[in-house]
Amino acid sequence: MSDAHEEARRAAQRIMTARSRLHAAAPQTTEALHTAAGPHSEDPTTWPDAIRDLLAPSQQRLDELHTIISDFAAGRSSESLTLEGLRQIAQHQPSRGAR
Amino acid sequence: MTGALPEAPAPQTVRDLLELAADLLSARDALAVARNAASSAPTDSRIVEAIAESLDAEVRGLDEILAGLYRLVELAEDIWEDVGLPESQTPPNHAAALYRAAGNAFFDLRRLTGIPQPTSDSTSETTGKTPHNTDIESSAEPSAPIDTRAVAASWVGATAEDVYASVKALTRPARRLLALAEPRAVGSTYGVPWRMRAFANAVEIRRTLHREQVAGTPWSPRIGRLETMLRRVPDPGPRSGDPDDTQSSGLRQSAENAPRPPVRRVFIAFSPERSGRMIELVGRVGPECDAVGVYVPGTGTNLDMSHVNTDVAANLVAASGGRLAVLAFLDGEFPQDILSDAGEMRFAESMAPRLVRFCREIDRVLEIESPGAALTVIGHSYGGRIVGTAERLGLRCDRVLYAESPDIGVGVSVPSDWRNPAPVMRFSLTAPADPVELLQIRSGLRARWSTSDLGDATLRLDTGYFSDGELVYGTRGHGGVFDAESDSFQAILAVLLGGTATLWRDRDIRAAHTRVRAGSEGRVWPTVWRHAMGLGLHRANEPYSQPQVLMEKPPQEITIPRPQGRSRHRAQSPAGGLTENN
Repeated sequence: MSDAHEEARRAAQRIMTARSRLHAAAPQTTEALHTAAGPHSEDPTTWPDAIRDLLAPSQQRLDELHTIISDFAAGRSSESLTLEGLRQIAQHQPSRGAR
Repeated sequence: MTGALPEAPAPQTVRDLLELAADLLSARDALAVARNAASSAPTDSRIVEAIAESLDAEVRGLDEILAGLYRLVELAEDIWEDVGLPESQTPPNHAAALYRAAGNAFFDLRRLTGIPQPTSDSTSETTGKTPHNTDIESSAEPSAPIDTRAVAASWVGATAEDVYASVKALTRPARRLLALAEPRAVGSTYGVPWRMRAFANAVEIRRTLHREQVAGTPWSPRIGRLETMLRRVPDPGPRSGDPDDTQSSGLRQSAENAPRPPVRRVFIAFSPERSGRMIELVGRVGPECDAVGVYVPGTGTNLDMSHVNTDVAANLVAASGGRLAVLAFLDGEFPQDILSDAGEMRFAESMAPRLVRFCREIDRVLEIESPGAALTVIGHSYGGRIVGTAERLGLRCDRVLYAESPDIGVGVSVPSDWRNPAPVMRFSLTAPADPVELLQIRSGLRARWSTSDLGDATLRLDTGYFSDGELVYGTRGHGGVFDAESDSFQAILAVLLGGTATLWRDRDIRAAHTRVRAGSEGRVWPTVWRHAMGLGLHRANEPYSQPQVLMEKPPQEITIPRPQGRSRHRAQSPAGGLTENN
């Protein structure tokens, strides 16, 4: 196992911790995202749930990140495929680029 | 304590939001650990680099969501306290304005998380109204995409004017988004409108407090201070606009005569590092404002005890009838102990350049908000040394007041060492028998037969009496010159706003174990003897207490001119500028 694979394995483990904490904070919702929070602003008691809905994309990206990195660490995915996967995730990270 | 309203127990909604924030914080920290490990790994690998970048973007994403969440916590508190009050206690449509702000906060959160805005048929946004009949931002103003990180990065090395221009080009929703996504840059960059900086710093203060609470830190002065900083205070007076959304322009006129609910404090700089830093604006900079004061406090100043500094600013503003705004300038490290480090120059040398830059920023803001308003810088005790040093570095202001100052700045022996770019009116206050006179002597600023406290560099005003009739004298007088309703406080107001002030008066004074004889001003041995008794021999016996005036010279009054330029400049006020309230 190369150093890169070893680092990836460690990163995947750490992401697992973050992922489980995020899932604990915001259990996946099946509601359509476009309704999230929209009609709730006048009832503060609904705000926490509305925010949990807004966390779904983060959870989804973290799941994907974990899968891609784990696959690379386990030798199930090549370097180029992994880089491509990470690049595709980057395209959906709102904190990069304009939104 | 800063006029802050008493703390009420947090409503359940606020507790729920903070619980969610704690969970998010925990996930964010775990991601940060993974990011830091990947970015510091010794392995030279594109994969590891890409992993670190991906994790960094996720950490920033959660930081942004937390910022939006803290904003909602603030609004939930406001709604809890204000909505449902009798109409006589709130301005018209106040509840609607708060709900509108909440709608905007969710609008911002959706942008931050990359979630499409609700479609027209899914909510009441079809008409751009909430059930309380208030426009929400999303339909009121188009929101062009913004790369918040790139905007903040472009400010590095930019002038305040360039920063201002870049902010002016943004829509209001974009400015809000920028403040939530880059609160540290927005909250500390000159050129960013102050209300926007305050918006960003409110997020940062809440984040700092929440961090302390989540860490399980037992109650500490820092936690107490942060809590107070987030509490609301009585409204200081009429306003020309509001930071975000809690008042629409259409409501402004009718709201002027309406009851004013408490408002959030305005911090235009904040940092929890070391002993903590902040700049707080008390009062409003606007068309009604004749003068702006910058108050630079002295030894012992830190964030945890900053309420005493805010109180000074609040007292001055309250006494001015809305004509004055005061900034408490705590943007740096102050000496903390009178014996061990108050004699060191490094604090003044470090803070003075920041004060010079900040006063230039005030000038820029006044040009827009309150053209021609006079700028006065007040240095109290060690703060006087900071102000004097800043004058040597080119401080631009209209008036300076040295209050109980040990000297006139590091590297300043005579007034000609100052390098102000424009004329400055200078005043000073030194209470009789204030031990600071020992330092004035050591600095060579006192001379026999001279009544000047600072080497003829200033016009020395009389400190007079406290409101209880006791003479402003000795150690009580050192800090007591800022006591509201004292004669010295009135003199400070006269310096700021113009008016009548009394010049220093010679007196024969006898206190418990110290004495000032008429005609002894500036003489070394009587001064040294006085404080050998006061600070040494009789230290435990309240040596400066019960001062009795045996004789005093008749008062000699001077008239300090009112700030002149305002009406003249008003006609030249730039039209269509981005006000500091945007």
